Amino acid sequence: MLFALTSPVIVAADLETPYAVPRTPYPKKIVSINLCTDELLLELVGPERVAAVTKFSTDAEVSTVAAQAKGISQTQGDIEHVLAFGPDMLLSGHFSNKETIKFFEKSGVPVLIFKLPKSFEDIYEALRRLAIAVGEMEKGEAIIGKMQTELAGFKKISLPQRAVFFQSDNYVPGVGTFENAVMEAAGLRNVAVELGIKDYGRMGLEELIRAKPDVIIFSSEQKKTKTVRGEVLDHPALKKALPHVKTVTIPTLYLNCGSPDSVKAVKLLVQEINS
Amino acid sequence: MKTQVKETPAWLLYSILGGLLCAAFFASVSLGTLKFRLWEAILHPSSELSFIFWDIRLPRAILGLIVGATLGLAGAAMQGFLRNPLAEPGILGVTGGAALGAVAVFYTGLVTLFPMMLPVGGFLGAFVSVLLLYLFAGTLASVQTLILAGVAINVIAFAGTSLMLNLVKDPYAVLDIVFWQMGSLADRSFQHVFLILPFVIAGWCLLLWDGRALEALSLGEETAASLGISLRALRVRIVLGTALCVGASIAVCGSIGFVGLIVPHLLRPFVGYRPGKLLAVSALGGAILLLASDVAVRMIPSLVELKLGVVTSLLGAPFFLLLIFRMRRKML
Repeated sequence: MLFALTSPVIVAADLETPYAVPRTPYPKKIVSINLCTDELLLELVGPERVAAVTKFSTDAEVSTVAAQAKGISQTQGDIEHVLAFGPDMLLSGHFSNKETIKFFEKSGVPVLIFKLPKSFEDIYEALRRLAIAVGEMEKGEAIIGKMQTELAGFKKISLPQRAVFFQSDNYVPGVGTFENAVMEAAGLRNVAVELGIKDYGRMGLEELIRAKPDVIIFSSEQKKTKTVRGEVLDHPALKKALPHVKTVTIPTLYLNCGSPDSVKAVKLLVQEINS
Repeated sequence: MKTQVKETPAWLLYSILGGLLCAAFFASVSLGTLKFRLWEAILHPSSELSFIFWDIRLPRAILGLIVGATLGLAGAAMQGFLRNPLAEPGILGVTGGAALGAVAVFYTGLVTLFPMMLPVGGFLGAFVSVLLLYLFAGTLASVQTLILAGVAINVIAFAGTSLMLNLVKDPYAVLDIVFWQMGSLADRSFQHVFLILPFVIAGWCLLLWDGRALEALSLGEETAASLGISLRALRVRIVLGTALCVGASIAVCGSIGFVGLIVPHLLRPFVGYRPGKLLAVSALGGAILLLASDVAVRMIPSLVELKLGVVTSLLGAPFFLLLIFRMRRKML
């Protein structure tokens, strides 16, 4: 999720923006220029109403809707290309293709911008907002209901466990991050929160050893390529000082955006830690 | 007329530098996020503190020493061989080439199969850069030509790295590359030290061997040839030596620039402006500068720990500008 702060893909709920008043009939040529809005959109509507999504949407490594996105046209999100689809609604995140967003806002096409979610409530909010805009309120509520039941149904982690979510370059998510919400939903105590870290902070190896977490969470692409980030977890000092620490790897696609599939991240945490 | 050049006696120079190096090394192992006394860590084996000392701080300090010495030595050797005061691995694109090689090894997954490929990738990248440098600029290029060649190589290396960033799918991996490129010694282990040691020692030997040849070369190519120095052999040694030690060092630490520029310049007056004597002295000086910068990185109070490569660039870039300014005044 840290990635979202620095790079132009990503996002979800925007609470400040009032719900867009849907025009009737509901939009039939929706274009999404952000992977995260692709994920929300394809959960709610069928492919026949979607004119284009991002090129990431069919990539099963990063997208939770790779199957649904097959066969739908893809766009890079530049003005000309989007215009060619003649969209009647444009979906985007805060950071992607600002020029395109400005252009379509001026031209009167409804543009919906979704912010980064910080909790599961933010995801529900984003789903509701999009569901109203595309006229799929029932489906939206069904998805939210299913997420809530699943989240409530997980057997919480038995003993209180302290965890650190280790990301690129020793960044750790603290209060007010979606990762923290996922950890809390699994019943974990976030060490970064104990240390008073808001949003994202950094934690060196020395601090990590001193904090003695029970669990280290780590996110990665599904195929196990070694990265600089992964290397830190192989550090001999960590293995010697924390021999019993449990490492859980969560595929990045569950957390990139905050989508109905984010529930799977919680499920994975609970399963791995209870096993 | 004879110009008198004052030279600091070797024993004095080496003992001062040796003393500073010990102090910097001691500071590097004793300062960090956690505050504790060194003897606490040494007296209590297999305690938390001893792991922090033996497995985090010690390899970090040793790596700082090795990489700093490499950069100082390579800077001095390049300046001597090219007879050019602005020659330096970073400015001339050797560092950039090494970084590109290392990034390529990282993200093709080769490093997962053979860890040894990391320094090899760094070496190959650096080697190609040095070769290109000679193709572009030759051995006796003017300052401007050489710097331009360096700019060109840096641009090529940057383009290659950007292409790699473009092709990487995992957004987190992009972040990894960006952070890694800023250069750091944090959280390295003895595995890294052992990984690069053979390359670095081979490179050092090739460069330190060249002291006499560089002294002779400072009298001009013909004089050097008449003194029995084979320029071709010297060139091979400098190219290989630089590529080996700089390539391997950059491959585990990321881009760290300007050490090779600053150190030889500061120390040159103390060795009577003799390029041969400057080699070993610059190696010591480079190690001191890098260790001290690495201590500064950990001690400067800031929101996040600064990156080592960022700090050396902050020190080095103004120094570089000052040198250009002084050269311009001399030309007028």
